[in-house]
Amino acid sequence: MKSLTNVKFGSAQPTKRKFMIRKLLLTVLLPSLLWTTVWAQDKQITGKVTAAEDGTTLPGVNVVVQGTTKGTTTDAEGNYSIQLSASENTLVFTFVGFSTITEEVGDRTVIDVTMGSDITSLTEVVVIGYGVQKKSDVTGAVASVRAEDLNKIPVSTAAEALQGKVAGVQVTTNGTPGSAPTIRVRGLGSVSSRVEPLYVVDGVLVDDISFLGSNDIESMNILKDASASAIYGIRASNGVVIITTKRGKNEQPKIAYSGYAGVQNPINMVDMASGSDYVQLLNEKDAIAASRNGTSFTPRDPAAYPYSTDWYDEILRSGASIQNHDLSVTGGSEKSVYAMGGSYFKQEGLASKTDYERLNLRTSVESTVTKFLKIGVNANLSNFKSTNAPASLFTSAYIAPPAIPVRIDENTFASPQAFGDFANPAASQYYNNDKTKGIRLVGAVSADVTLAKGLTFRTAYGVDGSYSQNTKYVPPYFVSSTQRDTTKTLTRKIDNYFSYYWDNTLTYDFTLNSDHHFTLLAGMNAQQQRFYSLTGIRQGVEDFGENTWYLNLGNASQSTTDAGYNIKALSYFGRLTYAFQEKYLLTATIRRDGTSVFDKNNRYDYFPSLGLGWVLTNESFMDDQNFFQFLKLRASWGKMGNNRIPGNTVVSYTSTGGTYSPVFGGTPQTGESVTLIVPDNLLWETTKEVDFAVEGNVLNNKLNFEIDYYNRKTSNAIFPVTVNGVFGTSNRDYLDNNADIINKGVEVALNWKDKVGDFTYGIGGVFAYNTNKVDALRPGTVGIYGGYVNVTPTTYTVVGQSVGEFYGRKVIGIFQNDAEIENYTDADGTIIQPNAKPGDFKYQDSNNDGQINDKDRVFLGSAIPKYNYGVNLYGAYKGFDITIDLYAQGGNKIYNAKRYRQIGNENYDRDFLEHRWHGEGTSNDYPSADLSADANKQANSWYLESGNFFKIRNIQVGYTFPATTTSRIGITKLRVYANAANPLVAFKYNGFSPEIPTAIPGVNQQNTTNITSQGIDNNVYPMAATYNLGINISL
Amino acid sequence: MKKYIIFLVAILTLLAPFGCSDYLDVDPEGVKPTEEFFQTQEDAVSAVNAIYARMRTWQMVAFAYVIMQEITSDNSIKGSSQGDASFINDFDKFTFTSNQGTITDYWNGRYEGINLSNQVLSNVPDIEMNETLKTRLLGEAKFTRALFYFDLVRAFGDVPMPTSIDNVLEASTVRTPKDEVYAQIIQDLTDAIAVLPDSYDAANVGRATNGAARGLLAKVYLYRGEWDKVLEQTSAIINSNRYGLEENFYDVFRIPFENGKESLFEIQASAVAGNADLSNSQHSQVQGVRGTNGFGWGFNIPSDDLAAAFDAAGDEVRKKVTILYKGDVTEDGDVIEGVGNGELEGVNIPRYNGKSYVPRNRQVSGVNEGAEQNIRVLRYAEILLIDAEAKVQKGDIGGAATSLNLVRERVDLDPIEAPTLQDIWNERRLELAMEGDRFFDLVRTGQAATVLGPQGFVSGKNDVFPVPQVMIDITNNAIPQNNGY
Repeated sequence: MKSLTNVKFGSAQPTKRKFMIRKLLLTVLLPSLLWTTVWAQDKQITGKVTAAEDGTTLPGVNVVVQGTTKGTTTDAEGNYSIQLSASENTLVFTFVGFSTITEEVGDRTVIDVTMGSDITSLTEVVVIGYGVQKKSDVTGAVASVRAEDLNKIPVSTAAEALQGKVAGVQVTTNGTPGSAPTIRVRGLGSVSSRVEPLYVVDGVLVDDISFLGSNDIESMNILKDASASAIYGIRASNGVVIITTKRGKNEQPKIAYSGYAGVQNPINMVDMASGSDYVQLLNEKDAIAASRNGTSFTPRDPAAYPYSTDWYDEILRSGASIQNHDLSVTGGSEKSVYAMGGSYFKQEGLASKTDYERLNLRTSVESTVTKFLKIGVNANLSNFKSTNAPASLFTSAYIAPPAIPVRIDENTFASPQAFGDFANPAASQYYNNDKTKGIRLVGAVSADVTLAKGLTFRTAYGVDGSYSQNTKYVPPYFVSSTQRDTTKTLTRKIDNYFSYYWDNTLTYDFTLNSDHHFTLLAGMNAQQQRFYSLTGIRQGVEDFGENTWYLNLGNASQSTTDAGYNIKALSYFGRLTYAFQEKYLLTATIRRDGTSVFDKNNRYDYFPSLGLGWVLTNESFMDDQNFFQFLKLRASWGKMGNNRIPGNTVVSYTSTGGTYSPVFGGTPQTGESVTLIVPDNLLWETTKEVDFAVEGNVLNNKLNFEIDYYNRKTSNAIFPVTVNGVFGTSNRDYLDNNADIINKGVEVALNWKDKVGDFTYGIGGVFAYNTNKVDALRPGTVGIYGGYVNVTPTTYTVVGQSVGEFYGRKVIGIFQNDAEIENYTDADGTIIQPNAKPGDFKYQDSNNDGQINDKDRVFLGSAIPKYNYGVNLYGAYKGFDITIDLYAQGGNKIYNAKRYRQIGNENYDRDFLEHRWHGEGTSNDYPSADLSADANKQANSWYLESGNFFKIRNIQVGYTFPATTTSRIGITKLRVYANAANPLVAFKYNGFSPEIPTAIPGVNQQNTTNITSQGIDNNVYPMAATYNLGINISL
Repeated sequence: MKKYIIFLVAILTLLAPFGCSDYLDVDPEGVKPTEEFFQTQEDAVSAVNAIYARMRTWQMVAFAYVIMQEITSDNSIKGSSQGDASFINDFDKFTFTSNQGTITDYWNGRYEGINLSNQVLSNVPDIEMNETLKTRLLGEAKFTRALFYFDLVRAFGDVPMPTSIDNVLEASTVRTPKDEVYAQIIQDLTDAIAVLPDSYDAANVGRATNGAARGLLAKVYLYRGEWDKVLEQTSAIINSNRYGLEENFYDVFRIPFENGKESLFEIQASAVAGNADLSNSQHSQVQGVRGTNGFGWGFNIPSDDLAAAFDAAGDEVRKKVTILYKGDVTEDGDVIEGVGNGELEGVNIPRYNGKSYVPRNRQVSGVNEGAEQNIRVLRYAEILLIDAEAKVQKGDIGGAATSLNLVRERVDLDPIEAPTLQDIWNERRLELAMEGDRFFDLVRTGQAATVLGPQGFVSGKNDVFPVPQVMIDITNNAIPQNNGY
């Protein structure tokens, strides 16, 4: 039987006290107990305790004789020894983070125990803002992800590893090496401000965590609802991800190495038309176009084009390498703990010539200087560089004519000009030089002062500073008259960022009458973010190698631009947590935030929250049931804010620069004027959220569940207000608090853990369902058209629809013949599409006016996924272990803008080739090859495809060598594994990946364009399947 | 207890800097607050400069201009390649709706100019500065405001008419009757004529002159049918002897001849290597030769109908300059290649607008193709044709013939002894083809229904464009839509 010794906390004392008692036992009483029991001994039991997951030995495990206070702990090698009297027959093994194990002794004298880690363990501690709390006491929606779960998948940034691990966190991975994934917590609550969650790394607020390697992280806690995250009021409304980096423990120094190396292969490649198919399609297209225009055309002779180039083959590579090495030293004593380490990550891009490299150094020291003073310092230094692909490489490869060769001879790229104004993608890639390098330091120093028992003052000063430099250089080259460059242009962009966060908190933790447990927190935070960017461009830089790419070596053709921002915020906050007999739980927070991005008069707002919990299993009326080992109901309400609006939004400033400056008689003259309109009363965008949840453990703690319902309403969402054109301002819209957006959803997390003989296994599942809707727009606000593809809008954001809902004409079929065109009439007999040709789209006349125009557009679906789920399987047998992670997402649409690119002789994909209309009866779904014709070149439902997909996210099989074997060579733990990431991604969408990343804007840029343009596939970076082998060694 | 006090003091000391509320008072980075502008003479000059610079924006001289002022007419069609920006065909076929972004662009671009002009007219009078310069600057702003309103009133009829930064709010929700708009234009131009100089020094060439204002006023009176007043202005221009025709019609549209003797007003554009902002005119780029060895996007291409009109008139010189066919070699030696035969909707042989053509030897690498090409707004040839038209209207056929035949002689056409109105109108079409005049001219002269009917033009509706739908939406229908849209 494995169950907690005593699941009903309410029956005795609060666990906190029990902990203290246990500590006391260990440190003071145990030796004496042991000494006394020697005399009463009947038999001696010895054994070793190891972790099921990886076979490492577990020091410090409590071994207690059931029903007594007698016990011991395992030593550094995981060995224990205990004397039992004749009447004592049951040993209980407990260890934080592991499921408790109860063993009947029987006749045995050696009892080796394997303990399975227990993420759902009720004693698990979760990190909440400015503190920690027992998971069972939490009244908000908080999810934890263990470092092991992040480490398994080979990715450049740990954020990517979150996919499918946390209910309600949607992760859209991005194939570009080193780039941050798109992350949404509980839907999409804004259109103008940032919608990415806030990351808090060791107390420092950061926008993304791509500077961290997975191995740098000890734990990730995701605060999803208002009760949990409102303490970060100022930037909490998109959810908060709290990251704790590696920490030392009070233990013998431990040296650990983990590393992997592998290869990545492109998957789900889209087959394109071959050279001869392409020429045939062009002939079909031109024949229809000629009949449409009443012109003539001469078909191309396919025989004249013997080539068939697969451009993707040319620009991509198989077997791109990926590797990661991480070395860490942790340890400590009672007074001080430390963790140091370094990691190196390198990933080659699927696109040839691209890669991403990162070297991280980290250190963390905590020391108890005096009885009442503890100080800590930690720093993560990240040094990265990348070689980037040309901006439009994948679009270029998609559209390039296949009927030309890559090169004419070894030194000369072929020009695709025979088919139009195309670039040779291989040449674009060959002549591209785009490199980024940078360094980033995130760290903090802190001091904790114990003023009295339970009363602690903490001050922490954290910094996030970075420098990065991007260099682009185009050497002189000539492929064709339209694909060439003689300017020898060098572009250098340098970004500097520095921010600080200063937190001061006072925490008072006390218990009254042993039933009332209080934690009071009061604090303040001051923060500033400064950014400066300088870009210089010069032409005429001769190419003598990278060392001569200096602006100084260019000619007089030059330009420079710079930009910056300075944002400050000041916050005061307080929190009360109260627990009565561990039955009734309350968390109340209040925060007053002020930020410099708003006008002086509207700068401050209050962000309160309230969370309530009721642990039913601690009620006496539940004593008689055995079904629930733990059952908690919780409800929360809270208000959060978002100050991540573009800088200078409320500032009226002049417009100047080149576009305002005329040139008279060859002389540029300065121009400047007043052209902006700014909101005069911009307020905080606030999100109010309610969350109802039930969580519990059933079936002897084997199954843990957590079900949440939430409704979050962003009020006064900062939404662009269209400026009356007569004002003649240069900004066509300005931001104001003009919309309400609602996200509603359900999240379910299930975890099953069991052991059959030596086989330990777990099944985890997370499921989330979300709906997104613009609930209201203030008068004077019209919707936003977005998602422009070839100057045509494809989305429209208005009341009643999701943010960025697709909008266009509805295709109801394909015209098969002239008769069908003539018979498609309105009630009066007017032919609705008189200019159509067979093979064209037949559109729905939505407004029944007898003609098709933009007034016939209807809503066609949302880019925001409605659901996603992840299934995580785990099994261990003796030294072997296996994990399988599955992920699926759906309910959304993707706009296949690749196909919408057709304006001339662009290539077609094979799916189109095989399904196209090419004569009566051949297709009623796909149009003719004449996609570029007016009638077909409209935003319409045919370009929208289902975004549903399922993937095997990761499979890992590992083997841990028996400690008995490895200890002979001084290794505590040795595990080897093989891993496959993304070995299978299944979807119907005609594209390289159904995961369409949304560009994350800089702080100073308006987000609207991105948010209303989600799910538009303009040729994404293809996805890779990664196969790697790895090793974990601990000394 | 002592420990507490020490810590309390320490904490309070630490927090002291944040106690004062000005921690959050951050000055905006990298910008000049509006309050600090319009203080000096330099500011006044800069503000007027900005008006000229914003004349070369996308909304002013690129798509909106070529689409609404030419492609709607019989002179040109969409061009580029099939399927590229296919919404443009809605304008060729008069199937556009009030939602079309091009119309909003046209509207916004001109009101942007009006705001910039009003900023000057409202703020500069209070600046202490050289009075002569101040007077001139105000005159320039009045000229530019008139130019923008002239576009608007021709395109939309009644339009909102703010005349100062103080009445923009009230003005923005009502449509001022067309006659009042014209009255304002005439007033502004009359004021401008009184103060603008005849010419500028080399570093200021391109600013509005007295002649520019007179020329525009003559054209405005032409639209109003006030023939005596037209002639008052045209004679003043002609008699000033400051203007004349370039000998070679090709040269009129080439960069070395910009702001030359034939030019009354041009929108100044420039190509400065390495400076995309100063080189942001896309006028020539959108119309430039597309495809192999091209230098542009190839929109707004001359129609077969225009070619036929040249042929009918025996007008070889202007045809060759106006229409660049695939295979032509220009006087600057460029071979026109363009897209493949049959790849264009509406015409078989590719051709491009020769007037916006910028020879390869003037293309500046790294910035928009043809960014240097000025946009011809008013040239002396048109003044002669305006003069001729008014004289025919007044019955002065001989006088009309004199002006008309100056224009014809230059391009080797026989003089017309007794021109009719139709002769003048035909001459306007051929002389000014592709210069943004044709659609408005057809509507003005009442020929639109006949000439554009086959394209889909509906009289009583398409004489003006619809007010952008967004204007109606955001004013909650306070701004009424034009008839039929």
